Amino acid sequence: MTLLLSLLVGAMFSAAIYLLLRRSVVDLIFGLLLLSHAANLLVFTAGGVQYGSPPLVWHVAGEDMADPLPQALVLTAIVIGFALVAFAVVLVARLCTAEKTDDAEEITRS
Amino acid sequence: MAWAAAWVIAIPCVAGALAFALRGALRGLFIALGVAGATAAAAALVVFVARDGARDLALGGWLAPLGIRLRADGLSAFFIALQAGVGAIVSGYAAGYFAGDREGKAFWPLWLTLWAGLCGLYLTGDLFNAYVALELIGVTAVGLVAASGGAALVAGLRYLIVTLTGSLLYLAGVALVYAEIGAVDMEAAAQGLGPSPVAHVALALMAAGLLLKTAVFPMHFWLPPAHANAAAPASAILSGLVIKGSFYLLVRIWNDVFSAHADDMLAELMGVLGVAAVIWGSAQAIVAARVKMLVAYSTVAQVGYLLMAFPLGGDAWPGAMYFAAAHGLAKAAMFAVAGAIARELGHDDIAKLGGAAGTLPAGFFAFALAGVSLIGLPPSGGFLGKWLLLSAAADHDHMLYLAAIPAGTLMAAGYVFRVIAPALAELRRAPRPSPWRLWREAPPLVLALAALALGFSLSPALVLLSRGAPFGGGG
Repeated sequence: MTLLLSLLVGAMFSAAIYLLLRRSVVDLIFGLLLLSHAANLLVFTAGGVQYGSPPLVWHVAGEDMADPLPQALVLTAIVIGFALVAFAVVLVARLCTAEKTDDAEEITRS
Repeated sequence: MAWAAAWVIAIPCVAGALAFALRGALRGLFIALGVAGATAAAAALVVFVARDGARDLALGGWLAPLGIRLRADGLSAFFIALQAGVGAIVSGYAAGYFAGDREGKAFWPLWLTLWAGLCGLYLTGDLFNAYVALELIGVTAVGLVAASGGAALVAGLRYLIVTLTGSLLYLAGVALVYAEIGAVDMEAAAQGLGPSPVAHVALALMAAGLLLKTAVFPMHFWLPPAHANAAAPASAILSGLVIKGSFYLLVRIWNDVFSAHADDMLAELMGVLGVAAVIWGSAQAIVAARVKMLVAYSTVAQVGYLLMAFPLGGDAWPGAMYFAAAHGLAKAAMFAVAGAIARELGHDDIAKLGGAAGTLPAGFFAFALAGVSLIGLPPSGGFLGKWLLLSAAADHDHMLYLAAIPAGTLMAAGYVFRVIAPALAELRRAPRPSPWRLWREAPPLVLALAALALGFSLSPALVLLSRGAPFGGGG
């Protein structure tokens, strides 16, 4: 499971960077979104993947315990990422209405 | 006493929220109270750290493995002093600049929240909390740029992409540290990280993200348009203070967390990037067409000197910090003057500056004084910072830095005089001085004089910087 998630993180990072390098500003938003999700998934995987174990230490020998901290961290990072992407969407919307194009090259040139 | 650290963050945060929610005179009152309170709390914290040494604050009474620490040592206190000093004076300038202006509505909540974010970054003892502070700084700084509209929108969007990519690279590094040791506390990470490849990858990711956010050559492309197109008080804040935030975090993790993993080759690479930044940034400043663009490219160049501390080490650390403080003061003064020039003349075209010193005598005086520190002429903070860097380079026979620092100094003189010389020429044809306005003349003068005064206060600053031994060894 950890291997699968790691591969997924890698795929998401590369897709995000590919999207960030494209000319369309809308693709850029999707790139930022994917980049933030890739980092979040990495934090989530970093805590070790456990299925169905309680996130508490009960001092029972041999019983697995899920790590609650990465989930708290990811929750924080998701909220921040969401806010920043919302901000980026507003900026892009203002730009595209003003310039009447979503092409990064044309916007920079004008 | 330890609670001063919490007030330093809480006061600007609350004032920022009130500046957003309130209207009219009450709003102005709370902004003034917020700036004054945040400055007073910062002063108290600096005095405590200078007197009693480094101190920890366990928030909510929870200690390190479970709780989140605030930690104030000499390095944090030094940057908080810079933040509060420059911040308070620029706030005074902004109050006059934005009086009766719609743009000011967006400025105050963003600026006060940015203040809280920077202080949070300087005080946190936790890698993940540093990420939260970085994002807070990023989003408010982008807001300050984009609030100007027009060309600033494009620059703001580019800045947003860069700052977001930088912090997410940093976050990926934090995730790797957590995967390795199961903690995000800086002290725990410093003790727990063994000589594993994961730690090296984490350092590489974090360093890349933070260098991007500090606008180190060749990752500086976003800085000049963003800083040159923002409103003048915002430019002063961005150039003088914001880039110091990510630089501080880089210095912090380099010395505190990854001291065993920071190898010579990476340090040497950062030093070479610094030299390239000094040369390239200065060259671009020399050919810039607008005053604000010139000052912004000069920031790219000055960041280069800060990076030279990584390969030099030892005495070069306090030297680079001192240089950062001098640059913060001088650069804020220059952007404040650039704003006054743009307001008074209606443009900031260097080719059309002839006789401008006759219109704005005090402004150009402040610009020249700030230039003295920026170039590194004695007596000034810039001179002492460069002196410490140069003597560290001489001790280790680093010929590259020994050659680059004087070369950069010469080029800095070139671009500062490019503004001063035409402004002083053709004075006879110049119109009469424009009427004296306190908000416009006093802040840049005070900032520039403070940059010069740093030239006389090296030993207290070095004592403060050695509190808690932030650079390892005995400090």
